[in-house]
Amino acid sequence: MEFSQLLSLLGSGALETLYMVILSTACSYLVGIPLGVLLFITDKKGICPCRILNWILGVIVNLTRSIPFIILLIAILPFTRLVAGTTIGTNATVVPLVVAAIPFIARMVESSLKEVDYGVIEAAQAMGSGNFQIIWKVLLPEARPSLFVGCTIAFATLLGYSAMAGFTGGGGLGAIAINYGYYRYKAGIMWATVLVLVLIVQVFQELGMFIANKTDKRIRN
Amino acid sequence: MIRLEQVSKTFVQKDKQTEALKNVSLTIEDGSIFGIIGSSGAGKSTLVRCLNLLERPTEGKVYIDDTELTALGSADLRTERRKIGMVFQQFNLLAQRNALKNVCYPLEIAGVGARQAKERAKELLKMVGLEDRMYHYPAQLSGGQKQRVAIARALATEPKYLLCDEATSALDPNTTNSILELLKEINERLGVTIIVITHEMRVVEKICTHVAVLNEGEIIEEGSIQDVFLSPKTKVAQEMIYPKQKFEKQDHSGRLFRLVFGGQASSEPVLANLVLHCQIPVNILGAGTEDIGGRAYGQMLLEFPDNEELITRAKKYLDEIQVHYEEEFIDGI
Repeated sequence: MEFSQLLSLLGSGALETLYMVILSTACSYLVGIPLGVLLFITDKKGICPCRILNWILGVIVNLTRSIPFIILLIAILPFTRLVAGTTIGTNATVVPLVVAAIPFIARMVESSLKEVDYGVIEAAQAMGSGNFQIIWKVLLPEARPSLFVGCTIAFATLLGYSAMAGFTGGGGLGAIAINYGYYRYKAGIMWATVLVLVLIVQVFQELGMFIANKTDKRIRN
Repeated sequence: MIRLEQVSKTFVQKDKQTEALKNVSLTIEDGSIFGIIGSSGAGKSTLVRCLNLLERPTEGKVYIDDTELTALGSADLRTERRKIGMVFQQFNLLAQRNALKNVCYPLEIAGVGARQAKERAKELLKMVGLEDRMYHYPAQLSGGQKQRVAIARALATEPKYLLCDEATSALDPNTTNSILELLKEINERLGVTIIVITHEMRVVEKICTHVAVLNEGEIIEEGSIQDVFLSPKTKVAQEMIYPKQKFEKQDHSGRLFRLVFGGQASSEPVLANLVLHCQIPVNILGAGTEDIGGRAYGQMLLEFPDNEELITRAKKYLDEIQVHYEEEFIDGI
């Protein structure tokens, strides 16, 4: 394979990977944030304690989190086909990625919210805030920097998962590494994809931390 | 007027019960600065949280004016809470909002328009002396400045009452004084009734008109600040009011008297006369001056020999020159 071919292969692979990971991160946050908030507020020390709901959500989250991604990927193939219409390609990969990421992100959102000083929540209550106002105007804005850090972690984790999806016909860099490196013994191409993955993680990690620090008003700049 | 009726609060943890408040009844008149003092663990924070129902009493009723808070639903309670501002020891400002936005917060949740809220917040920050720090974030402010923002925030919805939970305990003495001055000014200018929770006597002395002493969940002494200061009845109150030096000496063979000077007899050389005219060898165990409700008071703890004749003579002299005194029977504190 010529160098220019390799470049275009890696380039299109990287784009596919970014497409899958960014889309699945965004989709999982849409569900993960409300779920994390719910876990936080229904806790017995939360602003709206509800033991049963908290327990049920906790069990679901823990169950999903304890299934290894590669197993989950295969186990939910019928569901993937139902949602995406197919089980191969980038769009099909987004489905298991989102399913795997939601509970993980929910836990991270919950832990970010736990970092918010309880005194601030108490002050908001003393000023006559309702629970929804506390969530929207106190908890989420106060936890913002920590949520950004969590987001970069989620992104890197999903990037790793997306590579695994290459085994079941998912697209992107993972598929390239497996098809060329594993099935055709082209170690060079495999290492090249790994390098691109490392670069992507590095760029997004730095970007995430930059945004987190830039928006954190607790730091004097 | 804030009224507590037989309020009790019991915390249950696992199989352990803690009685934080026991049958507390209290009336706080409008316009006063009411101090609630007690050592740590006395139940002060629980008591103040029962006033706006951040803690719901296990038993008893809480009234604000004529509304029974303990009978309200959550929506009505939220509206009622806007009449009661609160400041905290740790300020509890929103770290991700600047000073101006922090003061805007209670107005936002009360449904005041953004522009109007901003105008009001600016006025309030000007009042607390922070017009040049409006766009600073809490991390860029000193402790005293943060507490000023917190006070401005607490006053935003024009509350009738202001609860201060150890509001000066995290501040140095100078800053404490300036915050206390500010609270006094708010009381006088805006007519806001202020409830001050503290473990420091000097805070109570400096601004309060009334004081209640809380000990192990019970109010053991209550009255106007002058009355409680001139003749503290309970041991806890005495410990807080007496000059600290006294407690270093343990073995008193004589009898202890506490003299309080309200300023009226200051031209009289009291000690010299006790020695020269009454011929009593007095022993000074401790002394101090306190600023009580804007008036300077001096107090002195003296040891007289255990001799009835001498003591009768001394009492007569002190009565003549109208110096407040009382004998102390506390031993070995």
